[in-house]
Amino acid sequence: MNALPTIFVAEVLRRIRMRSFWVITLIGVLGVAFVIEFPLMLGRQIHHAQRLVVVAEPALAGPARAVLAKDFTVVATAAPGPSAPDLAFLREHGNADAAVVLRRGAAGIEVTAYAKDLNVLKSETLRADLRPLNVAVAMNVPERRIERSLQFPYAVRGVGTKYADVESARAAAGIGLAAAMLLYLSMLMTSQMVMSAVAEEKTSRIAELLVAAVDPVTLLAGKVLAVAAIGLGQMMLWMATAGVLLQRAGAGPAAPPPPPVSGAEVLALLAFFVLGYLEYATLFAAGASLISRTEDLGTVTGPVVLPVAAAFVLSTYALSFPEGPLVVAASFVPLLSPLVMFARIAVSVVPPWQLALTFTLNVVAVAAITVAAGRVYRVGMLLYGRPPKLGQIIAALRG
Amino acid sequence: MLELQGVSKSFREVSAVRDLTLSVEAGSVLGVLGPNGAGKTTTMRMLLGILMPDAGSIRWRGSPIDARLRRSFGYLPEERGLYGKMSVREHIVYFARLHGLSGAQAGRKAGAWIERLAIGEYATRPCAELSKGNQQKVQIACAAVHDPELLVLDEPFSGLDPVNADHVASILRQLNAAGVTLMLSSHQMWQVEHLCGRFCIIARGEKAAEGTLEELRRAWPTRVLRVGPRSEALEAALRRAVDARVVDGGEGIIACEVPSSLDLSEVLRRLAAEAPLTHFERVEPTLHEIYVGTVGSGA
Repeated sequence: MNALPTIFVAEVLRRIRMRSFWVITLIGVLGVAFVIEFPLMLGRQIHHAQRLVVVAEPALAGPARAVLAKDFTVVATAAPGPSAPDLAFLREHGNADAAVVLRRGAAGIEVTAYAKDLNVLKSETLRADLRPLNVAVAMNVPERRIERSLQFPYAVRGVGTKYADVESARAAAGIGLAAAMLLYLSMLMTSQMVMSAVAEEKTSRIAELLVAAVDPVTLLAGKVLAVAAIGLGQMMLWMATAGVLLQRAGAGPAAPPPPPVSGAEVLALLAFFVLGYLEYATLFAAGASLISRTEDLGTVTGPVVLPVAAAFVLSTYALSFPEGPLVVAASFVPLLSPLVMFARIAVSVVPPWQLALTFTLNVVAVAAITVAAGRVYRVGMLLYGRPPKLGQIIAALRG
Repeated sequence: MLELQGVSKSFREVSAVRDLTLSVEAGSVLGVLGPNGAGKTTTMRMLLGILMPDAGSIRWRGSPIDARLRRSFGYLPEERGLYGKMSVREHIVYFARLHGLSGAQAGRKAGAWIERLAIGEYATRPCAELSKGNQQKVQIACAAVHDPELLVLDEPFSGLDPVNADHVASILRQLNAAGVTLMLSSHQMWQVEHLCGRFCIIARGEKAAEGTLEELRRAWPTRVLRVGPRSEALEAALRRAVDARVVDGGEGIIACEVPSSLDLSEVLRRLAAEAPLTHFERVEPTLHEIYVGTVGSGA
């Protein structure tokens, strides 16, 4: 009978019984909710903060009210007074957030805004909204005519890209960044779960008993696959949370357009998670097998974290420059490609041959890393005391 | 029968085991003795497939040991440990499953071992909460739960108090009586002497001696001769008869080391003729003395 299912089940049970597993899962759910909900909540608050009172002669107040209504709520209009508006003035005029004072000047209008909170006043929007009025006053033509003249059909269309317009492309890059971060964190956290499992067996001295009963590579594989299943489960839960929250946000009255996430991208995310995780988890496991005390884990973690951190940095670069030569090259390199190629897929059309090559190289890399890590693991699990020298590790790798 | 033929293992420039040839009859108990670093653990790890020998062959019942055969072996390593958060029952079931038992078989066997070791009250408790003695019992259950044909135990009495050591020894005797071949190493000579039928003394990676206690004694070159009552005349007579250094043997007795081939009837006749003699005893070497003599002599 193959021991792999036994090890797999035991490892899954051991992991999900740990309080830390549930804490991390919950933190992940809350983190996803925070990342999605917080900007929306903040946006709603800022929107509600734009209540204006327009202070101007009646001939200007009416047109100003009309042009500002697009982006602001004009709660009152008032004639100009001898002094600048203060808080009492704002309170008396519909509890406005800001007063916009307009006067006729030499070249149009002169505007001064008095706001309770300078950080939440959309100053540039205010300026843009008043621009037609300024031109109308300067040219002495009705502001509606100027406003109509400023409206003209304008569009940017992609050529050979997967998105129809700039907004979709920007949204895709945003989603791609969030997904790349999710991929990075999931790969790192689940790989470290494997590392701590191996370190636990090593430091609790149960390792030798295990390797006497089963082949070390089977033991390593059972452990890596079990944690992969758990990590995948966690990731799907977090993605489902994101999906539900984004859908809810999309159903709102002033909702942004739904994010352009295709089923193929979700599949790519899962596939690259599995590949990236298998590469890193086996490396982490091999590293953990070399230490005798959990305090020494840092010494083996560093060299393995370095490529995953580099991959994440490159993936953020890839979201902006998906066809850059460095990005394209990195998207074929195992250890880097799970994140970099995913980022390219998120924002551009990757030729199928490149995708096929990346998957093939990663599958080959997973096999090679597993064999190498298995050899180090076999030797490392029985070494106690001083960490092995580089020569010993190289000798183990040679078999 | 377990057969090791010309087995060697080196770790870079350190030769851990050199040309070791050894056999263990099925159903017997072999005690492997040797100082720390002699190569005992390396030998055990090789026959369990944890380490691969550089040279030589290891066979069980005439067949080279492969993964399938190894699963019919049980192992208690010197460095022992348990999953602290796993319960006693789960632990034993897990190792039974790793050795190929079905879920139902593993459950039944685990229950039987829990009863046999009288650890029922701890069955559902995490292993970390058990005393060292009870943890040792769990580990023995893990090593033997799948009814191994060969059970290899590296220092099974290490760290145990005398009561628990006796308990463990009695369990090992029961296993052997049920037909399990045992191979164990220990520094507790009195336990080993009573438990094992044969012994192999390893020093500096090589076999220094092998056999039953009787065979080891027969091969031992000296015996201790104890005579009394202590008197100057008897001491002088003894010196003349055996040409050896005479020491105080305690309780009014004098003693000396003589070659095992010496004709003691002639010595007895001469001593009796020269001095009053009430005590004449030839003392066989203990396992401890043979071990210390073998290892200490640099064999």
